[in-house]
Amino acid sequence: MKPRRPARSDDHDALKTASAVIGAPVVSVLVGASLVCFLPVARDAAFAIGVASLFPMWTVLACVLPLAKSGRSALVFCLCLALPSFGALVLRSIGGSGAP
Amino acid sequence: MKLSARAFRIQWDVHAWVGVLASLVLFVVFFFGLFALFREEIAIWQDPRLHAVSERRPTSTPSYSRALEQVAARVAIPEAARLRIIALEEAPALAVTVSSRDKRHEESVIVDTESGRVLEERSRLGEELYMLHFFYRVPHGLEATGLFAVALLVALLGGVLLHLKNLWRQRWQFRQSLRLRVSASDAHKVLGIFGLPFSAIVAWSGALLTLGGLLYWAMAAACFDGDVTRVTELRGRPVVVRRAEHRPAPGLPLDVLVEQAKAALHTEEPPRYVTIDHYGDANAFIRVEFDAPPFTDRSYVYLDAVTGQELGRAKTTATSRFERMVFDLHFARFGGLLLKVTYGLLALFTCVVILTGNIVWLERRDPSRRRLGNRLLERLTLGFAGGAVLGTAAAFAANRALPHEVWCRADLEIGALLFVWALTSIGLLLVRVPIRRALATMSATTALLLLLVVGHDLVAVRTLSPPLAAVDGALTLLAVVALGTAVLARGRTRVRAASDAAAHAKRTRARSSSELEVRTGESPCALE
Repeated sequence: MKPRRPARSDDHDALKTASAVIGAPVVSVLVGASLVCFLPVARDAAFAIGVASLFPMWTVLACVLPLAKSGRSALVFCLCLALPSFGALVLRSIGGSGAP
Repeated sequence: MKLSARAFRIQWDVHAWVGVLASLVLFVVFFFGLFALFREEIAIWQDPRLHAVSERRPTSTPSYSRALEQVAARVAIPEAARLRIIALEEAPALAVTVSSRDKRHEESVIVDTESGRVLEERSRLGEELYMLHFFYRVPHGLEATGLFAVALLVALLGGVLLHLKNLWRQRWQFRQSLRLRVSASDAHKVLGIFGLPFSAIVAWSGALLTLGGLLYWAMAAACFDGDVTRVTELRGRPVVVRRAEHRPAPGLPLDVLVEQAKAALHTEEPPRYVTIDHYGDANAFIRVEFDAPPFTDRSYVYLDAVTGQELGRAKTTATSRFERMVFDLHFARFGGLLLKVTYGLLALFTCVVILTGNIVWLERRDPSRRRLGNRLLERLTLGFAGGAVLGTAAAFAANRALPHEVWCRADLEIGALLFVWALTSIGLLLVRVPIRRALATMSATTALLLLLVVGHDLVAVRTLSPPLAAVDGALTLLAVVALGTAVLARGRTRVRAASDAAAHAKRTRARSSSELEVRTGESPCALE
């Protein structure tokens, strides 16, 4: 039996749209902040790189996330990027390496 | 590279929905961006008293102390007020703004540094058009503009992905004689491809400039335990926080402080911006900022206005250089007048891309406008975008037509813009007028108003100094575009009327032949 061709309405579900609209900026800020904190260059250069890369990252994510198979996979993709960054930032904050 | 059918379909929807939802705001941003580029020139253009001043170029450092004395004699300076002094690039004059501590009271004057005359404010046209570029007067308008800039980046990337497989072929393909849907789609793609680097750069830099405040706060929260001063240091900015003591104290003469700042920063150039906080207070301080070549940091220093002691100065860091680059890229501050004109043209192209995008949406999805949403979109697109253009033309015309001594002259100019804009937007939503006829009328009125303004300047102004020539040139360009739109819309109306008449004749012929058929029982061909 031939697999069912996905209907046009399957292309856009609420979770996928929410991932693109809310997930993309959150993920890009977290990844940008991770770049600022962990890039092995001078702190002011890392800050400039983190800030400069934030909007391109946001844009790419907002275009890529709607292409995910389903809303759940878009969410998992967001979490895969956001959680390691968030965890690393929290650990760094607890460890006190954010001090000047 | 070619997208799969599913990816193409999804990208198409993302591009279309993001584009149509952001279209009207982005149109306003790009249209007023054209005037933001010429803000300095409009500051001279808007006040005929400055026309003669602008024929002289600034030669030496003006006396700031004398200018301040003249302002104090004319304007009541409140206790612990904030004074901003900007040295105009195009004329030997200083623009001085006095604001009260609570920012409720603000007064601006211009000091001709050569004659010493103090000119009260007659127009704020340049400043207000600049602020409309990023909705500064709307609560949280700045941040909202940043979000729309990101939406533009998403629409641009989506558009590139959609057309990547035949981008090269489509860059010149413009089939004007075909249906509106095809010609609008061609115009959308051709102008979109040409303006792509420009749109991408201004959208990215605009997002950074408008969302920068939020972004730095988020970075401080994520990286420095919420310590915003760490971010300020990384940006190379000194942290100077001083509250007014509410104890009056005589400050050092402004010229002495300016000379001290020049010595501290090893420069002989006159300062571009001087800001005095808590003027007349024991805790008053001054910031003296000097201009710098494009893509290099502006240097500035903070001094205690009473003792002259240095409180801090700007440092060059990677972030400060990056911020400067973003600003210069966004406002075309690196290539002179020619680059500004190019940016202006590209901004107009982007406006056309935005409007043709909406036409493609309407013509593809609902050519006969059966749905209420699409009818609203059509009328909003014309009313809101056309109203902004017509309103701006009305404001420029009001600037030249209003008597100089009329009450609240500056407010009336911007009032004319907002009134015409609102009237057109609401009027087209409520009144059922044929859309093409409305477009033709609005475009022709815009062109007429702008040509009247330019014609007035050609007759009334003795010599066109560079700032005047730049503004009048931009208005002429806009008038030509409006006139072209009016002619195109009129042509389309005629074509539409002709096709309607042809269809009507065809229907009448068909009806009469069927009646004949009924009467004779034979077909008309058989009768022949």
